[in-house]
Amino acid sequence: MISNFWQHQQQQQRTFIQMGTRLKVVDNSGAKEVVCIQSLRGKKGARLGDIIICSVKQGLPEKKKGKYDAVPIGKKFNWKDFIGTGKVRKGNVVYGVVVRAKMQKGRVDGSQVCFDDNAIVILGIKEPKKNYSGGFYQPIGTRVFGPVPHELRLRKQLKILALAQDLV
Amino acid sequence: MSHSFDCLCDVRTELCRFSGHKIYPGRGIRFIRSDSQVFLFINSKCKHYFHNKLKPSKLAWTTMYRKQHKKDAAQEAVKKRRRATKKPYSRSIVGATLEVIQKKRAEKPEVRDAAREAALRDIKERIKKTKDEKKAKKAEFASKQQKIQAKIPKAAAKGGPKLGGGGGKR
Repeated sequence: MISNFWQHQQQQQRTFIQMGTRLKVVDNSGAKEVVCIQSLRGKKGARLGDIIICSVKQGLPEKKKGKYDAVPIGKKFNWKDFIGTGKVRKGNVVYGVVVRAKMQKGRVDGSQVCFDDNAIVILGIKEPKKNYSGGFYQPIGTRVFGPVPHELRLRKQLKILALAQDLV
Repeated sequence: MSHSFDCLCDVRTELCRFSGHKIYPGRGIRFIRSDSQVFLFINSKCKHYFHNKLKPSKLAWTTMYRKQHKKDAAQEAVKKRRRATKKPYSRSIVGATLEVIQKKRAEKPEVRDAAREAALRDIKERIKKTKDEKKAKKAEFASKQQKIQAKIPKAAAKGGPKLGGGGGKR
């Protein structure tokens, strides 16, 4: 028991979301797992409520054949090409907002909040050669799973709050 | 735990899920599990113990342990005793004002018994009276019938004899 305790102490406690961090996707946009490419806020990495750019590593299984396959990312984007598989597929570069983070985030009343996992909700697909204009993207999925923190209200992610099952 | 804050009137303290201590505002860590269950910990010690799956009921400084081993039993007993005495309900209800209730409560059992017996006697007399009346009526009715039957051969032509005090349409 004691050795476990000390091991835990020695592990890094501050775990920002940075390049290479794998995150779970908790909406029904089609992606399942995503890897962070860049955090748009913070030099050390993203925290709860921040927006990141990520690449989709795992998504819903794709259709077997037909003209709905493999739209190259540089090409003009067409929603019709993704009928039946989900809005986002493996290999897409997307924007996402972190809705759950293992790392504690301070709240206004002085307490700290942390979750069990790192999770994001996908906001939109990154068009190449275009940077995040700084507006407030809303999610492209229609459902959000799991608990969601109040911090999103400050980030103007109101649609996520509305779709959420549990507001924490 | 926070001795310096004892003088302040706290807005709202919560309880640590692990140790059971009070968490004053501004302290502690709130851990939200994937099933949306919220755990509050007063400090990282409790948080680490929780994540390492230690049981609070096995650690002597937690309230759970103390409850299990009945360490604060004397205080709890005193508390319980204070609450045990129940006062008789003294408020007026619809149908009986407070005075009526109090009067009834103040009645002695002998008085009540006497009253009950008197009431029973009353009822019995009433029943007897009605029975007697009924008997009398029956007797009257029977005698009337006899008279009418005696009259029938005389008054057969005059409409129908009204038996039983007017039998109504049948």
